[in-house]
Amino acid sequence: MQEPLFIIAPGRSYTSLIGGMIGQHPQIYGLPEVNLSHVDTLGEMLGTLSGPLEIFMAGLLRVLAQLHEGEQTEASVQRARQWIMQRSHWTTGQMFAHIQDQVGPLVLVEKSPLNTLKIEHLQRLLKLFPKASFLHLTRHPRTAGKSSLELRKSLREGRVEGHPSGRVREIDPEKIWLRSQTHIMEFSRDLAVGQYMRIKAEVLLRDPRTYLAQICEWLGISQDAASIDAMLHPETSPFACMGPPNARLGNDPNFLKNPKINFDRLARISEPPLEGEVDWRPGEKFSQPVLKLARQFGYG
Amino acid sequence: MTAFTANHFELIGQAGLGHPVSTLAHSMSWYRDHLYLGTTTPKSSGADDRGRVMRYDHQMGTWETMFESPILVPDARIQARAIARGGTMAKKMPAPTELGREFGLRSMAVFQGPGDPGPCLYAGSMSLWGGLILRSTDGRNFEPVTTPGLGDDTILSFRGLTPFKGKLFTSPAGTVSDTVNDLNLSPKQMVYMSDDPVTGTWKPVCEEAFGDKTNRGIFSLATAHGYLYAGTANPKRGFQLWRTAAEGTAPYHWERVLTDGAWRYNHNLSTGAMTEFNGDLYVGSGISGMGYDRENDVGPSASELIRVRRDGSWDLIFGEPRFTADGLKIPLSAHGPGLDDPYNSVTWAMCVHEGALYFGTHQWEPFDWAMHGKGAALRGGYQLWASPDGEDWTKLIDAGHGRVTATGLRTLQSTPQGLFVGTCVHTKLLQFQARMHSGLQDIGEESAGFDVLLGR
Repeated sequence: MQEPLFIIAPGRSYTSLIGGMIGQHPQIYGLPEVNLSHVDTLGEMLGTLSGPLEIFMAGLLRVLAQLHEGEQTEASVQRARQWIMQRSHWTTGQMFAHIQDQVGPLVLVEKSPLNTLKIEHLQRLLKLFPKASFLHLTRHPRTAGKSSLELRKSLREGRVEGHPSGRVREIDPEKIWLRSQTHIMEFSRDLAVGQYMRIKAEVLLRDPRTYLAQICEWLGISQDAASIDAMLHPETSPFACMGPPNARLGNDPNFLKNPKINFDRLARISEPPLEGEVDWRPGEKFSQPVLKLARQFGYG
Repeated sequence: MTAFTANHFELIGQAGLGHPVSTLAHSMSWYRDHLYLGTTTPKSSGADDRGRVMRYDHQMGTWETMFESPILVPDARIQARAIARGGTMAKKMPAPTELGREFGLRSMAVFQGPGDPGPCLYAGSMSLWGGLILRSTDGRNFEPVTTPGLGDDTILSFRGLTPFKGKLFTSPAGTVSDTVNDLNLSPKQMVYMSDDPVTGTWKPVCEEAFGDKTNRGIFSLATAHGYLYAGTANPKRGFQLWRTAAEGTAPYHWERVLTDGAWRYNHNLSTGAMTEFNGDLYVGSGISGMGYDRENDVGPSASELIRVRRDGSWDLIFGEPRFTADGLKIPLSAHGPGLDDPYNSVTWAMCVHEGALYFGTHQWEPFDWAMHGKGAALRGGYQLWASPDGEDWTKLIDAGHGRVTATGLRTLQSTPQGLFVGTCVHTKLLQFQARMHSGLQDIGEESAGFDVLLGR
């Protein structure tokens, strides 16, 4: 079995766009968010991702529908769900192996946000794939925080298709950023040299050709012009669009609505200062642990 | 193949050469067919804390004191500086009534200017009165040839004395005042040049901090392939590496070669040792002390080694793989930061000897055990590494050559008599910390003061 690439980052770190780009390399199969890292078996997954969390099943349902039947329709998604329910005893490792069987020699790339929620999730992935590659995407904590606030506002106002409207918990986006980054940094400490790499998403997106080629070099896959060109079209993925009504998401809703790269916009991606008040705690600045990590990542 | 194995290194001096408070063999030079060694005491709290210049007679195997800092009576201003330098303990003690003018000699170079009768030995001193540059025309008499701190007596010392194109270059290191005492960060981030040091005339040759206020110091100077290189300390962004051909009139044109800690950002806080090998510049990096900058909350982190070519391109020799504006950088040695030892915080000394490249580390593992070992015996100590080609590295000395309190290899000097190694030994400090923090009453090491080894 091939060893996959996991893109690890806090939410709102451009993982959808960059994961979508990398996933279009001809030697890679880009998965939607399959959210397999937080449990050991499919039965546990069905249990944890139920009720309001059921939206996190969409990625796995869509990929199974696509791989089993070549299309993502309500019916094929329904059959994918039944297929999973019949295999609730399967381990997540078996699930990954099944997906790998379906895609052949392609390298799987996966970027579920649950991967960094707890360090155990990352460790579970490593146990499944001891030689997997881990690409850590960073984004400036100020823009990541603002993006998180905007998404939560959209969710609260019921403006996100496929997401159940209702109460959305108020959270400090800076704490989420710090928690995920801390998990990633602690996890990466014990990885072999070269197994883990980190890059600022802003840097990659301002000059995608340069940095996508380096990512390919790191992964040992083709860096030719055709491969890089393919990576600049994440919209060609079968998962870069809204899914059927029973599995609408599986990725960032904004990306699913508009997956084409706007190169002009990317060229203008900025990195604001670290100093100054943060939007989510009026009158307050970034906490020292956030400042420390942000500087380590090259911000400010 | 490298010239040595660990067995080839012989201890030729220990316990600070009869002066156990001298913890640091700080600088070396080969002058008049002898090894000269500049020593440093860690503090400046009394008449015993005096920098010295020692000379080794390789035929007799003996050491001779060639210079010992004169003792001065400090006024209230200098006493306040001594108390600031000594920290909490010094505040509880009576103010010193006698002090060595210099408590250390951190840099040495052989240079001959127009006013020198022949090749002279120059030394940069560390002084509460403001750092001086000393000159000796005969290896026996050392006299200051500068005013304290080149006119700014809050400059603690001068480092990186580097001859280049008939001129002598240096940079200030450290700050001394009654409120600030920093061994490394200087009030002036500048490279100075003199074409005739005996005149006492030194000119600034670069823009202050290279025009970037986030540069907090110039930590390293070295020459390679026709350039003078200067490496900075930058706690916010990571070190920068600059170079100049030093042509025309000062200040010279400088070109930035590396920035943002070679894209590792502030975990490459400063440059460390730098030297030319096979036509390329090798640049060590690090964070002083225990790899953690307390003031700026950076680290802990281990050091790297980078190779810079004349065309400005560069390789990562050991360190953290990364994507950069200059391409994917994977360590050519296949080793991570600190050559896979997280305690190797600084690439602290480097030199070329008989066709091989050598470097020594600052290794703070003994401090970790002393503070967090819960009574367990200390482990660790400095390492010496060697490579025939700059990429394939062999560890020649591990664990402080058998002395666990030897936490750093501070200076290396290639000579016709062999490779000299000067160390940093912190026996008293480690014993104190072990008792305080881990309850270990006896760390099993008596010898205090630096060691000197000779490989041949």
